[in-house]
Amino acid sequence: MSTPTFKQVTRENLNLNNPVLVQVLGICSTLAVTNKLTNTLIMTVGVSLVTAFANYTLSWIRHLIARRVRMIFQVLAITFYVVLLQLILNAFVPAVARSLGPYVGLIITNCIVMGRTETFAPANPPLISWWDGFTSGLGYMLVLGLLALIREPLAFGTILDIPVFPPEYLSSGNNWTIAIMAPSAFFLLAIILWVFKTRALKIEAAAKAPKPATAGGEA
Amino acid sequence: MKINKDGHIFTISFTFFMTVVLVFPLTLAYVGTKPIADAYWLDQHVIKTLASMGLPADAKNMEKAREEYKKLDKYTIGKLAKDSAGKLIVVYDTIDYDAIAKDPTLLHLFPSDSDRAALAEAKMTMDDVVSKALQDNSYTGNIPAFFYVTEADGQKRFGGDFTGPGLWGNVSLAVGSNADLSEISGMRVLFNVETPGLGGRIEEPGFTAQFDKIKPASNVGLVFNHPGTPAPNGFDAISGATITSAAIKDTINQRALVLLKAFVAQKGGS
Repeated sequence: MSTPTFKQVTRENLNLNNPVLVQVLGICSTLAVTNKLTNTLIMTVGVSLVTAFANYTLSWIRHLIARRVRMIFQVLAITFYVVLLQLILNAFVPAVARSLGPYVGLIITNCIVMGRTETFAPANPPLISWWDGFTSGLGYMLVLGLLALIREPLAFGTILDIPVFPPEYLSSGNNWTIAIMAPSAFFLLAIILWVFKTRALKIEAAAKAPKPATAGGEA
Repeated sequence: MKINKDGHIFTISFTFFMTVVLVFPLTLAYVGTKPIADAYWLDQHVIKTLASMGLPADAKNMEKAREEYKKLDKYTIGKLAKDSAGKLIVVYDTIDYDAIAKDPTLLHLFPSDSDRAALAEAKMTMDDVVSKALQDNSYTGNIPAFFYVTEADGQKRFGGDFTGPGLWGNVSLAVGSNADLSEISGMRVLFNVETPGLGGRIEEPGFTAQFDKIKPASNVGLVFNHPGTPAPNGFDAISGATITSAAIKDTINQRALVLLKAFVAQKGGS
């Protein structure tokens, strides 16, 4: 297998092979941290950086790791970056760290991170591995950000803690309690998956159909 | 010499090497960020202690809150000692709650007058003692019993930090009361490592607000509400968090109220 280009990796991770929409990974945190956009952004930036650097580190030492103990190294590298992230969050944004609760620590077991370090890092050079991890995180961020953008106004009447609905929305108890809770993300995610999958199938069908003479480049 | 990367010796030594390489920077990061994280932890303590005693506490105006907190008269249970470097420290006594429940005079408060003189000589205040204890236990929540007394609106107010066993680790509560222990002015959770989303919800305002102005019965203290029949000394447990809810009840009844009663007996009156 030849090393993919930066452009290919970006396209794969953000769109055609999106970790949440196509691989359906990282769903636990998708449900848990998307009721406030601030939390979502910090969490997803965290996942992006952890995946990127864990991938980088593991790719860098990939020739030194015996195949049968690779998981020990994966967990070691991932844990290192997660604990580092946790210390930084605790020190500089303690309120956010508290509201994210256990989910920062649980990045260690986030399937996206494990998936990338298991499949991409052992087979590719460090820099492209970093980029692959980072864009995987961005693909995760795209979907989670979208969910949070819908959930936060419905749940709290705000976006990034800035009120977007009149105060009566909250004070009179008109807000959607379900949007605060995890099940709402289930419904929303299902709808997003549906739209995305329909589109992906169309693209696939178009690619299979005989190309008109004017169409150029990759589909 | 050719390295056999699948061999035992290389695998073990390389794993060891990588662990050291990764753990060392983490240690540095921990040491480097602890003072910053502790500052937040200490501020939270200030806000929660004041709030539990029904005193004004606004997290947006920390200056004023710290000022207010400084005015509290602080006590604990322990004695002075010197550490290996010759620095004055407080050694905290193990508390026998049952004995104090039977005989409140067994509560020996620190600082006594001679302790006060020794502290003053070492240029230490009780605030330093409290903040050191908090920083030493910021990851375990094993906060020693501290007591607070102050006067607001011509009334004495009492409060304290009380630690008890939760489901996974220590649960530390700030509990305040009025001058005759007939009413708890408030309760705040200082530390917990309970199950997130279940027992961990004890720190949410929806749970702690139940303890504002709750009236503990003199014989049984606080009880759980039965569905449909709220009691004046009852509070709602958290569904699915039986052990954590019971830990809150027991820590308040068997520890906080016992110690506060003994404390009020000594420092109450006018």
